[in-house]
Amino acid sequence: MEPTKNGEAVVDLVDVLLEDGAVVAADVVITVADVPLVGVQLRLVLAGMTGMTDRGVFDAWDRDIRARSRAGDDAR
Amino acid sequence: MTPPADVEGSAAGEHRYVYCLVPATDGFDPGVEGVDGERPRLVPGADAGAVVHDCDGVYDAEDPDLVRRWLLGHQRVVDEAAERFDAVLPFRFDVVFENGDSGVREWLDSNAERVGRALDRFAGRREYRIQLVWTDEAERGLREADEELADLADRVETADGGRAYLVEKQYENRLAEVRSERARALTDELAGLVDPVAVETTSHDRAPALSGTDPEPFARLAVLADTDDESALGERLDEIAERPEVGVRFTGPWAPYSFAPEFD
Repeated sequence: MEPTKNGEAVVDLVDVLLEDGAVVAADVVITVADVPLVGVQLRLVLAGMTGMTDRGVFDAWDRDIRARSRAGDDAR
Repeated sequence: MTPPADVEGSAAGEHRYVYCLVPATDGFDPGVEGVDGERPRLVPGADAGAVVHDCDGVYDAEDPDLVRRWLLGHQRVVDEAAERFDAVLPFRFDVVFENGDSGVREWLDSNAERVGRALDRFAGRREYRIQLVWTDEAERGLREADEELADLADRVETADGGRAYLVEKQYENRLAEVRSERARALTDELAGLVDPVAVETTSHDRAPALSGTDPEPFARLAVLADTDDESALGERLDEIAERPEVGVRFTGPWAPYSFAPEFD
């Protein structure tokens, strides 16, 4: 099977962006109150986010990703 | 548009939102919009560069649509870097450095060894993510394979009145047990299939930040692998995908978020 980067993959990736990826604990990075790195409101928003694949904004990204992989295939 | 949270006493645009690190010190203009419509650029250290945009502080909002757009912006830039470079070290969303370009540069240089090691490790490699889900066939398959469950299923059919509820509960409990055992076995099988082609793997057992897709996966694995091994990985997954009770979701290639280091 081949890997995909669209549709349901997007929901998973959003989770990744918020929890994974390099982080820096040093004072050089700003923290909001004592909540490191991700804002207080953002956490509240997360709790309320559902059904993201329904939203138009992900359709645009989906098209973007598909166009990109087509371009990539053409280039190979 | 909600501006990012201001840090007291700072001048406008004094901070740097960091998307990722790349093994380049010049010649990279991402050419795509990042978070909040900002245009990212490369800040060079001695051996590596950070892709950044100027900002006033950490991004924080109550509006889910805005947050979604920010996250997409972040990913768009990281994706662009991953297209351009053999290695990319992605940052978590919303890592903001103080002290302008020189703050970033100083950090890059004082962490040069660690950054260099991570970028070397990621050269030619990307993250792939694999999830296992139950199919509609699963319950029937589990029943066929487990005598006790099959027996309870029969009894559910024939029971009536008060007994029916009791037997149904017994069935549900046994189903949960059997499903859990099977999930463990399949997760082990997945690991066995993937290990020979993986540089590193990590499983994501935490509850997701968002309510996710339907059905919810019972196994979630992130794999760091050479992009050259992508087809080999896919072929191995075909083996487990053949099982009627399992659905396999295979996504990627992504920048290696799950394998990025935590810097002190």
